[in-house]
Amino acid sequence: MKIAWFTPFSANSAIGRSGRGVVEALAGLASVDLFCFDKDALHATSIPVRRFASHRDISPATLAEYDFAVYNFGNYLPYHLDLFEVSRRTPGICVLHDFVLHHFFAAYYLEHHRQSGEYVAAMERLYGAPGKAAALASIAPRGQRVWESDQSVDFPFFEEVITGARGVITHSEFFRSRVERVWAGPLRRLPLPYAVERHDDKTLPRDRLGVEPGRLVILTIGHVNPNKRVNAVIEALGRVRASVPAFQYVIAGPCPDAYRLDLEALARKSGVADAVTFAGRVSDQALHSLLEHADVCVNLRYPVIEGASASVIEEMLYAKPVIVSDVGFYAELPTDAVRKVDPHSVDHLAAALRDLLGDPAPRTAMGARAHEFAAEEFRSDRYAAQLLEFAKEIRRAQPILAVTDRLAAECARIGVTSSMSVLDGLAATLEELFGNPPPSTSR
Amino acid sequence: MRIAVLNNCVPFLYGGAEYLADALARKLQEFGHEATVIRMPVRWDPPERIIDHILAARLLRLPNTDLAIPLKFPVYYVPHPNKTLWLLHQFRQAYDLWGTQFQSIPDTQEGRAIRDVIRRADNEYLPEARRIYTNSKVTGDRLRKFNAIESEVLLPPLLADSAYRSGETGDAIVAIGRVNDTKRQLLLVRAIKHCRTPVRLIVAGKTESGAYASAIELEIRKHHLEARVEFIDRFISDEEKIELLSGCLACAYIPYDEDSYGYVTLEACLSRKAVVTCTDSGGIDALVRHGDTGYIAEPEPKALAAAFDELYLDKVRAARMGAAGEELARSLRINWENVIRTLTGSS
Repeated sequence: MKIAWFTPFSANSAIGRSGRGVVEALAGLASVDLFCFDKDALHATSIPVRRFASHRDISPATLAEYDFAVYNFGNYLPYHLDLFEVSRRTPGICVLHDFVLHHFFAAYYLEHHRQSGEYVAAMERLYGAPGKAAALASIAPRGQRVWESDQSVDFPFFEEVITGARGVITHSEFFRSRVERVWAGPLRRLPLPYAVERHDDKTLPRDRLGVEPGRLVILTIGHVNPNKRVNAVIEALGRVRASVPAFQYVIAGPCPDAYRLDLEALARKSGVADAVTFAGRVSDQALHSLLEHADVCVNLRYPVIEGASASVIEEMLYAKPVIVSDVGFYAELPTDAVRKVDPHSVDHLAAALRDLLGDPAPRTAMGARAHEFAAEEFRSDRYAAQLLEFAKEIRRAQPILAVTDRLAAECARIGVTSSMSVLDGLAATLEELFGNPPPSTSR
Repeated sequence: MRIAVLNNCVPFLYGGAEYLADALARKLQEFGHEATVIRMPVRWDPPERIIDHILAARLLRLPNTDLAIPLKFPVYYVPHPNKTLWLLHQFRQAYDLWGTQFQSIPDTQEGRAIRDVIRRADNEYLPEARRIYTNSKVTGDRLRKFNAIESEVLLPPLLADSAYRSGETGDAIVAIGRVNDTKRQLLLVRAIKHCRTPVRLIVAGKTESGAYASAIELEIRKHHLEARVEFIDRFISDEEKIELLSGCLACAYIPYDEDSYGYVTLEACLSRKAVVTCTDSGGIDALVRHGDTGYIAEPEPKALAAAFDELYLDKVRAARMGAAGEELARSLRINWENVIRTLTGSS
């Protein structure tokens, strides 16, 4: 089998980093070429890389020699615009890295195409009248922007990229079930592949990281947004400070100034200003070092916009106890490998911090279990084998999908709408013709 | 050419369209083509099934075929790059029969949606045909009225090559064909009791329901018309039909709202006999011109009786009408050569 693997592969791309291990594992099982549009430096890889300046440079004929194109979708327009355009012309397997793709499509319609009407039409097509209303509000002067609010999870927009796909892969069960509600094609959840390379000789000492000696290190990594719940962590730390050993909360990741000022004010109010450090964007080596030194990681989300979390997996692979929100992908992790908290309860979070900061034994035990689980679960070689098996299944299902597509196209042409019961009958007929046979009752 | 004649079939039912499809394939072969009839099984109940059939037709492919000639809904949706439609009828329940007792699709939100889908399917897919012919002006008018699609009339010829002949102008009006309430033979019987002349009526054909046969017989007995009305309730052979038409005064054919001209109408014309029909009979007026080749009367017993009396009282004029009918039929070129040349594009 020959696979064209479309991905952002810039050295800054987490999707590229996650995918590198997969394509290298895939290369042992099939023929793989990497297709990317990145302008800057790429991750190092042994896989043949085909670089293009634009989607216009890739025609269906370019891809005719491949059995499958695999498209890795994320929420960032500059990384995913070109591969999205190619996927419209040559449908393939969509790997959904983010549950919410609203930011991508808002930018796609409103900035790239400058077609607010198309944005509104897409929102109405996908979500009916509420979608249209939210879209109109988003484009109105001083209106509520969907992509700047929790509303984005109500209008996630992932539906747009899977339309016409030959198959869909998610990295969590919650996302798989969401896709299943709106899409009946081949669908598979595969655990997000991720690996870390720990080099003790590259670990910077604590003083080089601004971490004071003798303190427990609590670490949150990644872009600092309200949905990372850093404010709740600061509040909770204020509540537990008196009852746990000395700590330092390091927030490693870029943070908008205005938001950082708010959080610093909250830290002062909570009495933990001296124990909270905004490290900003850090180097790979600093990040590695912080993860090595961390005693507890806090990786909260609400609402959840990712399909899975590479950062949690990374923390688990560093054998750290991680406090996560009990929602989405995070809720699916084993209860003995992470500490799950109610995303709305600061009390819950404070109790978790108290438990993990107060006693090294549960920290160590949870970290060990986290490493054991993550090292087995998020393996690139297994992902590659399962993806290949999935591709073979899709190939077998292709005639059925072709019939379904044909029927859908004819239905659209003659005005059969989703509200008509005739569609249920059609679905039943397709199921009767192509569905799994009933279990044999003979013998 | 390799030609596929496309028709529907309800398994084990065989009617006029099936006869026509078979005859067309046979005649195509006689004219040197390879031809076959391909039938798509259909059922109309429940109404959602109708859309299934539309989609099924769209999924069909006709390989190894130079020309497709579909006759009916929904088989006329089968895609083919060289398709000539000879339209016998659309799904009339979605058109002129909507709002009548023949509607069959319920007047619910879902039912109306199904009706609209059928109409849209016609609008979308019928123009795929390179040429569209209809079996009657009525069918073509309906296509223009509801779908804004233009067509030409191509009247279907008689199925059998029987030799119709003209004999003496007799005393009887003959009504030949299947006997049922849409053909309205009972109305003809009721007309006879209003006739002032001794004109007779022969109703010849197999009844489709015992109740309708009983109603005719009761009408005859009730009004003591036994000497005036002869009811031959059985299948009539071609030979009998030729004989009856040859020696009659005129032929009556008064179906309710029929699209086609009615084979018996053409058979009467070829037997040089005048034809009486009704103003609401539909496509019969392709061959019946009032006062010229026959009478187009109101569908009332007295109006029909008046026509019968006039024919009886002036047999010379009746014979002249018969001759004019034959001339009209010949001028319309209702023959297989014309049909084959037209449908195959070789005329």
